Amino acid sequence: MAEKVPRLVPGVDIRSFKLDPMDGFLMTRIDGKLGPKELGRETGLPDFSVARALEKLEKLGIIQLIDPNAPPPPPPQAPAERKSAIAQFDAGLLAPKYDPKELEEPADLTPEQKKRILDFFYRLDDLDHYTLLGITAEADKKGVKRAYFELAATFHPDRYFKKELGSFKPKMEELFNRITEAHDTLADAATRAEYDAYLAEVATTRGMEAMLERAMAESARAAAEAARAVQAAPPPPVPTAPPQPTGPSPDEIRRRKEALARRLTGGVRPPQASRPPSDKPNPLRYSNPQDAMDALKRRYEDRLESATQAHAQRYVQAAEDALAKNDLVAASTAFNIATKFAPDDVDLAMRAQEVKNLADKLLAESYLKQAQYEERQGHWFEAGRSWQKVAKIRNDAVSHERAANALLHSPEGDLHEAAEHAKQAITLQPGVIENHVTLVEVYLKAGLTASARRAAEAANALDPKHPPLLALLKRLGK
Amino acid sequence: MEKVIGIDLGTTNSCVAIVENGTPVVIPNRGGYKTTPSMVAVTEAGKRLVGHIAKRQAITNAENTVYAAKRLIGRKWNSPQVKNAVATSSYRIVEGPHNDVRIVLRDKEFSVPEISAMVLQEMKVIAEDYLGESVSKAVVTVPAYFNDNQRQATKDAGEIAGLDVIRIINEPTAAALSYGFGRNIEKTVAVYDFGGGTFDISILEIGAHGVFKVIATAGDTFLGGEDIDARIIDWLVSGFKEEHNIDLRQDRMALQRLKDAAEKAKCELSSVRETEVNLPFIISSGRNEALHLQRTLTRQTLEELAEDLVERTVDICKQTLEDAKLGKDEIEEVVLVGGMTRMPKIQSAVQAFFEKEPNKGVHPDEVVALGAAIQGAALVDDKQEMVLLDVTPHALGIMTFGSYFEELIPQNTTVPTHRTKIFTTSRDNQTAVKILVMQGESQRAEENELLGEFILTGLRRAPKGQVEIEVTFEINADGIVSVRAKDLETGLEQSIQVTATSGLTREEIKTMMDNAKDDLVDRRTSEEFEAAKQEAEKLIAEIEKLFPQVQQIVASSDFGRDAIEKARAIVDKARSAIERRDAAAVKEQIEGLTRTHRMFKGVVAKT
Repeated sequence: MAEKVPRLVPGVDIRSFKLDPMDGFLMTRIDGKLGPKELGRETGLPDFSVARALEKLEKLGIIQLIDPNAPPPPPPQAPAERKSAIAQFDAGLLAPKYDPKELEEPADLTPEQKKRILDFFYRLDDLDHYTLLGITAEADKKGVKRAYFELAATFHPDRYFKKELGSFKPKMEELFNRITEAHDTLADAATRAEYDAYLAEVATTRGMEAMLERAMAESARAAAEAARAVQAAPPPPVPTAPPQPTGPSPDEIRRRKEALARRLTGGVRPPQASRPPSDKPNPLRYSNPQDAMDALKRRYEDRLESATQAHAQRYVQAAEDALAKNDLVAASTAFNIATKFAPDDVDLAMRAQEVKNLADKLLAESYLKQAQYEERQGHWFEAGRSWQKVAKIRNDAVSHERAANALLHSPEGDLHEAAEHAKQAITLQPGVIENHVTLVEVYLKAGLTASARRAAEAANALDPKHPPLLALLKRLGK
Repeated sequence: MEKVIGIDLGTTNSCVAIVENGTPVVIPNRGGYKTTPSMVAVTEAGKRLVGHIAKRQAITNAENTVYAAKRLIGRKWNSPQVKNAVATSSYRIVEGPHNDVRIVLRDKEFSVPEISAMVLQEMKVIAEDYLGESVSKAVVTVPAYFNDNQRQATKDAGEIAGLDVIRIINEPTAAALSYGFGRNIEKTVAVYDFGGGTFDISILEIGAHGVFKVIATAGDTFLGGEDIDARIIDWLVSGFKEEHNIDLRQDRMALQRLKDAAEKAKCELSSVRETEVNLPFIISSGRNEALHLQRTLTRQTLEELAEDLVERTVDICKQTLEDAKLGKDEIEEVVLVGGMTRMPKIQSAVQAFFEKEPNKGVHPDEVVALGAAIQGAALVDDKQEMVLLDVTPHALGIMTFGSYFEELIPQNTTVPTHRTKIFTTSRDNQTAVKILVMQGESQRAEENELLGEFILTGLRRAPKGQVEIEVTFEINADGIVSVRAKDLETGLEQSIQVTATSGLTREEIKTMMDNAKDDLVDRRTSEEFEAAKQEAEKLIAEIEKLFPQVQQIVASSDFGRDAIEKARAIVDKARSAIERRDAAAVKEQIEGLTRTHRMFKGVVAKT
């Protein structure tokens, strides 16, 4: 019997699953024809990783293993959606990040090998140690080693000894470096625990960021829904008819206009002066159009309110549920949406703010831990980013100063932002000389000598004997 | 496909192997022996002899026969190891022009790589005779603990012998390759390699896809069978002196005979419990009377003589396991390599330490050459699925202000690799930094091996600590180290590829270091240290200010003098901690300084 090949189960919304980029990448190559071996070749992933990923996908019900000669699956129920989900993966992760021209560089490598090297190399920044090795977070030490050995056997420069590799050689050495770093980190229980803690923090903040984004989308949707509610309610009190998407005939419009006018004015309009008595008495009669308009507006608002209140209530309930589960972030998100539906509910707003503060505190703590780990690893750029996030939430002098400092040390750091942070730190704690010194250093690095001098003078007023300041003053030529 | 031979260039014996049709085989020499003595001699007629012939004539031509040249390769003339060799060798060792070592044979001076080249050439010829074609590529093994200079000198020797040494690999690693080759196993293995001149221990992981990953390696390049021979010679010489009051060491021929006898006795005692050392007519006395040496050596005596050497190997094993972060129980196999592992005492010591019976499935004299051949084949043959992930046996780094060694690449780092650190200038208006590239484990720079140096100039004039210099070390797959220094402000950079130094003396290195002191880079100050330093310096300044007053007040009493002395000591300690830039130590001293300061203030206030 032929080897079974994986096939995507039709109609599954993969966005609901926790998949890593490697899984997504693999899925884009699953076409119901390629077996695991061919998939490995196609994707450039080690066989071991392919097998692992397939096993996971099958367990999740995303794919099924079928006989390649079996009849093709029935047409998927929601082909458009599935396609777009995959397309998302495709666009975000799989579009080659390298310039295809790089494949043309002559080297003693097959096109597949070149592709694989470039694919991995340009994706290095996005991959955590586990994904890089193609293993799950549950993999034991043996699993880590096995995966590492497989990759090492592929990427060790000795495999291409004395071959002409051109610019691929340093790339392979970098790849080898990274997989070795991943292995060394994960193979040791202590460093692995430290790394896992860091990843967990990253995941928390990423999850929170995603939630915030979703919250924003929900809010937008809420606004749209409110608009729809308006449409469903009597049209706004304007003399002209609201634009109809389906485009009623001009006659129809005219008729409606007249009917509306009738209802609004209680039939005072001349063309229909007399109404048949069989007409139900209109409960609302207004002496003039202005009163009628006001009443209509009120009614419209009442109706809107009852609609939005139901929404708000739903989100408040969700928030309370999340709170009960101690999921502060989800709670905050839900409250945030609820306030969008009930903007005038002061109690709700206060409650939402309160929960948001708690969630922010959590988020800030998480970013703080990340920043500290990144600082320890000497990853200044990342540390700068994390400190900036802490500073944004906490808005305290220390985080601002650390953010400025990290940006200052990072070769890619934005000095303008660094200066802003240093200034903010000074505003918050004008008496701390370190904040001033950091600002001087930022100005100096940016080449703004005059500003640096001014900042240094301010620091000088605080403590003229501060050694780092003295050094800076000397550097400023004083 | 071009053939690559694997050569185990040993201290006492060498061996050559090749992979034929996927199977590694040892190539026997013309005499049918699988190993060839690493001996070189020049006859009276000026003929050069290598291997067994050299060994056979050694006694009659002791002064012109070189053995154990490997112990001298890549070493400096005034190193203790060379001093020791000068005292105990029967051939003449003299100082070369670059403080390197030269060997005199029939009034002609040879460098050590030249001598080793003669042995390598012999191995090349053995292989060519066997294969019936010329051979130009080789993988040569060295002790794992060889430093860069020793490796480079070995490579030079290959070049002199007309061989392209495509790779230098470590002996225990080679042994592991041979042990694990084609067996498709997943195991953590310790290779205990006790050879003629060196001792090495390596711990490796053998995994799927033919991957061999070295986890840790350590050793002693001056601990081997030769040292055990020397103990036996000492024992024989001192016994003879007691009996006849004659020092046999004065006679080079006698010494060579003693050496032969000692080695023979040592080997015999691996299988028998006692042996007779019988050297008739070893020397003649003052009255022209021939004297004979005849003594019985028991295995027990030999074990006593060698005890501390064996213990040393066990200590190194222990340290290596710690470096590898592995427990004894995680070592699944212990492989014995090198002639010395035939000694029952060594086998039992290894077994006792690792708590498991060592594997004796590999031939201790041939396994290293076989491994070298396997690595050679794996490099040139795409079909061979085998990759060796080796480590750097010594830490690499640079010398920083205050003669400290700042490590960039730690010991046992898998290669290829690269590491970067940022340093700053160490004095005001420093416009150039000198980067001294060093190898070793000591915190004190001068105790490590200097590999090379270069200067980065054109730095901006600025107070110390302001200009940042990024230093990057890189080791590529061929084991070649390159170092780059970059001025982060201007982007200017300088780099070198490290090759062996041209034989600088310790003094020269010392002078070079002294001269370079002003131009050294400084470790980037950590904020923690800076804070502690400031606090400590403030306290020291205040204490110093109070000193004269306090001295005046309390000097009359013994107690007072004692207190002042103690205060002095605390201040000195704090100062030296600041000088060492040791943040923890400075912090520790702050408490003492604070107390002293308070006490001083109290004394002054009372008067």
